[in-house]
Amino acid sequence: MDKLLTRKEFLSNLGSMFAVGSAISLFPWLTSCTEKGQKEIEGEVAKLGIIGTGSRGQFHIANLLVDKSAKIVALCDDYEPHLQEAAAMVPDAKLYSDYHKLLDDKDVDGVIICTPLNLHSSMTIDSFRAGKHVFCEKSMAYTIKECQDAIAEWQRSGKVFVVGQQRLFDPKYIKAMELIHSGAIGEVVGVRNYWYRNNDWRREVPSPEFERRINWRLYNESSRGLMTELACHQLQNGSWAMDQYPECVTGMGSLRFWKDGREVFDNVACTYEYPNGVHMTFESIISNKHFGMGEFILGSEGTIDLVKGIMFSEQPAYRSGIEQFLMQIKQGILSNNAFAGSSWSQEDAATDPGIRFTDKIITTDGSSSTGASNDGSAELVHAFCHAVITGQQPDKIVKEAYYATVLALLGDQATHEKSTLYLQEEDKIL
Amino acid sequence: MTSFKYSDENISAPVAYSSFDTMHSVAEIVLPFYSEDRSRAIIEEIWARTKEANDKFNRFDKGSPLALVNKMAAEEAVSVDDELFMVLEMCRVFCNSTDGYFDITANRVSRSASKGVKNFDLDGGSHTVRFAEPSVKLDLGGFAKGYALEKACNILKRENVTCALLNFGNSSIFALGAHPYGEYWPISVEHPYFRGKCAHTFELKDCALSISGKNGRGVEHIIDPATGDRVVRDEIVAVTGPSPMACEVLSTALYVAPREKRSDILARFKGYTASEIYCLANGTTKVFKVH
Repeated sequence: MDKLLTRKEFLSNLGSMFAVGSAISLFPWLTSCTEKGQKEIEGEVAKLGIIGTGSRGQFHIANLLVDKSAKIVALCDDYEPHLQEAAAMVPDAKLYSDYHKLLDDKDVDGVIICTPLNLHSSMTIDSFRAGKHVFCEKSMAYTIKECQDAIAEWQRSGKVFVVGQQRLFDPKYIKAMELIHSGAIGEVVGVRNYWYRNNDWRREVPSPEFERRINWRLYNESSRGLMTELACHQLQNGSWAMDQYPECVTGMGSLRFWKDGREVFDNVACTYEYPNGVHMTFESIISNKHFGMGEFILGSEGTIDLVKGIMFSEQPAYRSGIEQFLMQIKQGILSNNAFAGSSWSQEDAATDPGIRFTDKIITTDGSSSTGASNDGSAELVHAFCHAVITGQQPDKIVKEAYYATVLALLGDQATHEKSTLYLQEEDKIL
Repeated sequence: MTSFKYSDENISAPVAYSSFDTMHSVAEIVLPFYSEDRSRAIIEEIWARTKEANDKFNRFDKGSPLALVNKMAAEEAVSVDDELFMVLEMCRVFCNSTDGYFDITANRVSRSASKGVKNFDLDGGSHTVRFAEPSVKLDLGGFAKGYALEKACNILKRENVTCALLNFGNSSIFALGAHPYGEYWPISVEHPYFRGKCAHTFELKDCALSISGKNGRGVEHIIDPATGDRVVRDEIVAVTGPSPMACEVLSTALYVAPREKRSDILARFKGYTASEIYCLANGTTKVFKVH
């Protein structure tokens, strides 16, 4: 499907879900998705350079190629096969193997950084210093200090900064958060996240010397493993739902199954505690996929399944057995109704199918390590284009991304130390 | 919570519908052919009577007469009102007539398992109840819906109502007369593995239906009085007959009883039929009459 149409549908969905005006106050980064935001950039394009053209970079390229507000003018990768794959997608783009050269290119307004985690901060800082707007993939950086350095440079630069937390643009998450903030599930009392896969998380390597470059996710020098690659997305949920950030995290992790020379854990479990006493969990195992991906906000009056876009009530409405006879008799007809069975009781809540709160919902099982269609990624890069063209920084988006990364990094440290770690006052910079 | 809806769009069959949260479940009624005011008045009386029964027989409500009996009757004879005394007497009779498979003293922790009616004494002179030992507790959960439904039917008959459908929690149903556009009320058992799928249809006219089996979560919840364990069965047991109360008792008792004993027990209840409904995971259903 044409991505522009998808975005139109997104806007339409937004409009039907709630009054956009009220949505914007709750989700200010969505300005670019409003009709007004669209008109602001009509006929204009953001000239972009892509730094890192591996799988995620190519995923963004595919979205940008159908976005009228984007023009990819430059591509950069120091791994030639990836660069050539991207060049085939954007034949007119200039090609670079050194990102500094791309940053010197005056045709480039903004860059999209899709490189290994340990490179995010330095590339972001260099890009701001070169006068470019920056979209950096999540997680924001390899350490908390590096995050802060990148943010400091962004604040000095006056440029726009967007980080790849696409859930912020996913209609079902937006609707869910609106419901939560309106009190639909009562008080938030828990947040449960998990992400299970059963694959080795490896990419094919043409020869051994490329192992650490291609499979950078598996090594401590370039990655924080499951916490920065998966948890970073889900850890946003609790903070978004409660508008506050955890005080501490305790964690465990180990390399249990994929003992193939990798260094990062293949299973982790973390629990975060918020100032209001709510606990948020994150679990990930990549040698069992039975449970897939799950994200739940637990409230005193209901539960929201963020992944499936379903709300469950603690006291689900009784599914009437005989009310349908009312309609039949009104219409003068007789038909059969299957409802009789064992006694319905209020404890049957667990089997309640819940209520879908968005139409045309598209769910993902979380098995792809590149990205899923219709998960907000297209809208996210579009928001970056809007920001590049207008020079307007999407509100709150850096803050959300910063704390998501900080929580992931703290969690990672906790899993290695098997300890409880506190979010330090000096790290609460936004 | 109570809801009430009324439609006179179909002038030949105006109809009222109401639901009422009670007995940890929901009771519903469809009442055709009456004016809105008359329908509302009849239904309000039924719900008031149902609430009375719930308040009296709810063992989880610490202030209920039944809870008081459970709390005190092991230590002293507890005086109860006429209605509760009569209900306990009926339950003793039903316990005997079902060979102890219907037993309001059955529970998972009691050391009194298998003693049935000997678990409590009723003194007709003083209208008191006393337990044989401290572990005895009374649970009218398998009786109260049928009882309340019976009382509701009596109100309808007293008001000369000839057409109505009552449903207490989907497991206890009474069809008064026939559907306005049929020869009977078609009531289908839902296949437990497939929501909305019909497993078996009963054609009810002036007849009650009670169903026992796993609960809505697929969990066994009926206790075997002989062992105190949950009864594990593959089948659903459905009983039809004139009295909702007797149907309720019989469906529980027959569900607990082994298959070979079901016919003998059923034969003691004239005018009642029982079916064993096997619902398979592939969506098919097999139904056997208890003879």
